[in-house]
Amino acid sequence: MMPENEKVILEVEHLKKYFPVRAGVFKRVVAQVQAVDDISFKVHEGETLGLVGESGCGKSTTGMTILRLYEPTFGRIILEEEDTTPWFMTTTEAKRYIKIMYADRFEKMKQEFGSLDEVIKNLNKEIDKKYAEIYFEQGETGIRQDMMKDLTEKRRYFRKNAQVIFQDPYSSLNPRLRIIEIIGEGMKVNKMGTNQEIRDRVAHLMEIVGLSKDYIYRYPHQFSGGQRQRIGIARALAVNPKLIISDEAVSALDVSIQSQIINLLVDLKNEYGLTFVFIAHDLAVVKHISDKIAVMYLGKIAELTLKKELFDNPLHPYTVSLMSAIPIPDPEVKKKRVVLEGDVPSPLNPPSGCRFHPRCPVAKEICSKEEPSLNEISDNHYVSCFFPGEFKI
Amino acid sequence: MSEEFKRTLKRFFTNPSALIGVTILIFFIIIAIFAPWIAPPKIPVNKNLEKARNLLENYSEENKYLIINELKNFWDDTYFFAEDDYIELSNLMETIAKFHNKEVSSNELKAHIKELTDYYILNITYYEKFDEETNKVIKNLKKEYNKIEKKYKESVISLNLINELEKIDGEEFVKQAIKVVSRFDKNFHEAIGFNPYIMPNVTTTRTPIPPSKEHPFGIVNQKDIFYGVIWGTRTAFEIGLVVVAISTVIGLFIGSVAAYFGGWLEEVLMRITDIFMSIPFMLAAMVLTTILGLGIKNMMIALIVFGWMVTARLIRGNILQAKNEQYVMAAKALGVSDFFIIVKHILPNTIFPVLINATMRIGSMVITAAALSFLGLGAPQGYADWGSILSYSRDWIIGGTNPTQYWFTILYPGIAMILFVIGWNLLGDALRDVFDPRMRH
Amino acid sequence: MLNNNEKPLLKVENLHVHFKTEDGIIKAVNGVSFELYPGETLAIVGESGSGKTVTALSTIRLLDENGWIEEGKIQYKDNDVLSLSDNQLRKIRGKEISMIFQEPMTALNPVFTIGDQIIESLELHLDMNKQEARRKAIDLLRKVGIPEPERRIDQYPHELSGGMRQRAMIAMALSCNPSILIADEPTTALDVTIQAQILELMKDLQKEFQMSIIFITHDLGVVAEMADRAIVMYGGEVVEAADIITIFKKPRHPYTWGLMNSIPRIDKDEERLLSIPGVVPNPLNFPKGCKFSNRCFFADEKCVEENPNLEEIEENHFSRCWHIDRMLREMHKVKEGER
Repeated sequence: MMPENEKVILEVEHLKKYFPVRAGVFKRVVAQVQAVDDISFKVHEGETLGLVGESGCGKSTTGMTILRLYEPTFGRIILEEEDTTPWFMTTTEAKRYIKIMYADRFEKMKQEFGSLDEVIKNLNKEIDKKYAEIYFEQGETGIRQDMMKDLTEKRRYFRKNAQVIFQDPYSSLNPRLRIIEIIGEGMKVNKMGTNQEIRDRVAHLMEIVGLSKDYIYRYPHQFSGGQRQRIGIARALAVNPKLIISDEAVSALDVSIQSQIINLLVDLKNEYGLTFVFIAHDLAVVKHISDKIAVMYLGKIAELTLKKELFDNPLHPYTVSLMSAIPIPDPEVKKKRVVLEGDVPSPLNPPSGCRFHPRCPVAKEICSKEEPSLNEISDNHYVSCFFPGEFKI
Repeated sequence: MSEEFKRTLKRFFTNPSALIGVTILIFFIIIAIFAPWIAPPKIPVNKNLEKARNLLENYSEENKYLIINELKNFWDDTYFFAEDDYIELSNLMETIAKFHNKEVSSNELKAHIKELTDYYILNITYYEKFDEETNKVIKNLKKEYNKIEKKYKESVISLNLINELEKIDGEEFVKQAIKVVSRFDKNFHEAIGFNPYIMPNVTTTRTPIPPSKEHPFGIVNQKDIFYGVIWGTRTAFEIGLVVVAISTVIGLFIGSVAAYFGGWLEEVLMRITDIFMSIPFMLAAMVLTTILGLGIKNMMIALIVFGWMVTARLIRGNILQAKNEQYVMAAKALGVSDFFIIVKHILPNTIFPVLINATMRIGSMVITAAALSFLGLGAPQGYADWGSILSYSRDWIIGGTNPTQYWFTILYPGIAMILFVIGWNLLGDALRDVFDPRMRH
Repeated sequence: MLNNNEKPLLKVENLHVHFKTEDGIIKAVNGVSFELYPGETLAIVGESGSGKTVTALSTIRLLDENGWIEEGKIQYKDNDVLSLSDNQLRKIRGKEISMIFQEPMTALNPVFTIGDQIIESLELHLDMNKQEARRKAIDLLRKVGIPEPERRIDQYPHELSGGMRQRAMIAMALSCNPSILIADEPTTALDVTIQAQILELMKDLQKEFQMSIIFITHDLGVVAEMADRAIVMYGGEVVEAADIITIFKKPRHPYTWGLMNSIPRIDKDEERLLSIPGVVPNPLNFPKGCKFSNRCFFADEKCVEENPNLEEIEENHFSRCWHIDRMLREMHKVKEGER
């Protein structure tokens, strides 16, 4: 569906986010919540990736970490061919990151392949090639200088281009600001015009999201839940971002309002070619809006593929069970259902081996011992399971 | 905002406790403002000025010189030594300047000071303490000089005014003369240090005298209770507002710094807060007042030092909560700077509970201050303060034929205090009801 | 449809419920009538502010302090619920009619173990002694699928997961063999795989305990799966009522029809969702005529002026609409037009 040569807007590599659990007088770290544990995916321009899963699967944490509202524990986040990972780190953290991510790796490859040309030939990502060249010419400091110069500018660039729409239409708007201030704040911060220009654009955005421009001087509490969600969308659109992460943007809305917002998002996406990461727990909503879907379970991606392929040919037992658990609004369809036993385990203490094995209907011995990696089973269809497709209803 | 504002106002004024609270407080504010009319202080008068004023009322040509004479007499009494003193002290200042430039030895300076103390221009202590605390003495001498200079200048102006009066006649004279008299009156009160907050003695016996027409609340320890209660209203407002305002600002600062910077700074600040909190408030305030010395100001300082912790904790908790609100996250994602996030997004949504808490605390601060005064640690002798009047009654609780014999010594200041505290508490309650975010939507 | 010759267990007639707020009186429920027959599951479907929860709570007079039943008749078996004394009512609540809620944490007391709470209810309503009650409580916990009930019975609510808590609350609700279970969005806060568990459990328990269920929900998928009959509420009124197949296959009210077509589904590839325009109405300020008139695709002046009655348009199928014919004629056009 999406040609591979198209431009990649966001690439996430081996992303991990652990939250330390502290206890005692000295606030020692006693455990780690492995909220997101080693996930990778790409989002192309104009594409919508759905992240779906149950509570505690790490889908929201993934979104917040990409946005750098949380600092990643490990991994690389590339936005439009630029490694943005160290931009929000402290100098020491950035130094460490560059050493592990680039210097050490290039050094090892150099020993393996011998010549620099060979190393560069064997790297397949543009960004790696770029930094390999810099590394072999100027060393580690060269990379550091390239990455860490104009940091304020880079941070602003990132904030302008990666935006977010939140779930709760009540807590996502500051109750003490007027709509024009809420939507225009990003433009002001990014110096995107005079006050007059900002006001005109806010009015224009209000109409785009289906609100009367007469309301720009009102306060959030004067709007209904659905309208507030529209304001949240306008705020995200205001800075012309390259990527929008929507975190359960329709989950808190009434059924009849939910469809309005879904349609609005679909329209905006088609009209302006927006790139979305759409996070939701409702598979039906994700299906409606996404081109590609990643099913997450306990901090890992269980299955990642194009929408049609996922629904026609689900291969991971968790995907199959999840689909069967969703009640269908048709009383004549009496579908067969697998009821998964037990609860989702705590990410504080995830099961050994495959994280799904204690609830998996087809788990075998190996599943509790080894962890399956996310393999490309067929074209563009990634599954992390030792026995993909074995479980069918 | 107007719509929201109207709703808020409506909610506020349909709230019975708000109405009662506001009524009580407005009542006290009116009393405080009109205290000089409700309970006129016994203003001391200068005989010359009094005579001049009487003459002015029945003005005739021949009175003119009598009036000017009275004014001159007043001038003589008040400013006769002003010029001499000023010259002497000016010379002393020169000596001090020379002393600083090492042109004059310390003994010479000391001799100069001795000279002045011998003429009773300076207090003898300047001489006695010169060797021990040279710098402090010089500093105080400069203050003394400034005072004298001011007085000398005033004397020159006053003399000019009197001379001007001699040149005019008739209506114009009366008009100007009245102005001059009131100016002198003010100077006189300043000179003798008159303070309306000090309750005047109205009888010679110390035994309390029950309410009468002249003294409607009765008399205790020679003081008119009515006068004390009325002027005490001002003291109560002063203590409550100043102590709460300053301690709230301190608490806001410490709490927001802790919440915003987090980490070890937060740990340290909050542990300090805990330590302050663990000391019993009353005891701490008592000890600190005793160390600083008695008096209203020192008592207020003690109350401030031990009164900021609740605010610090409250604002810290609120900020920590607001930090996780999605609109704060959204602002972060838009690249809004930390400073603006605090000022625009966090503080406006966290400040209300603090203000409400502050309102409630005003009442309790006044109670605490009264308790300190009752124990003899707060207001000085005779100061118009509800707690002080209550402390007088302490001597008479077991003194009479039965404990209720001198009921009026407790009842009136007690009622005033209770009403005052209830007023603030009701207002705080109402504000909380009106602004509680849980009542919205 | 199922048991029309049988006597209804619960009969609500012309129920009006009002609430007093600082902004004025909210008429949350306006003339709702329904019957509940033994052994059936009745779904009350609606969005926020539709009055669905208030309707259900009114049947056992469980309203907030500021709410009251203005008018209507509620008959449970042979009792007139509205004229019962508080004491008599208490005997019915929890014993004959019990409830489960969306958020079990608010219904369970955090300072008592789940065992304490079930045992208390057993002792109170069934006069059991401690040992008997404990045995029965363990039995109940086992029945609702809580593993190791002997251990779990002594745990506190916060020690259980969301799904387990919901099971514990169901166990508590079933402790006295109620004849009616009112379930207010019992699975809304749960994950889908856990929701599937709870729904299966409720179906099994309904058979075992022979009880009727009033299932309040906004989720049409859950309705299709659980209910025998459904009433659709909008703006404090019933707008459509029928058996479940009829409601889904032949909706005869624009709101019901709109709702059905506005939800994304995993079993179909819809191009675009139908979106009902406007906002969910504020109960303080309902439209004058038909409550749905300001959002309806088929409304005209008559709808704005006059509220239609709930008519029986075919046997046991009720709808409150002036223009069912027009809706049937134009609904395909509307759907096309939306695309």
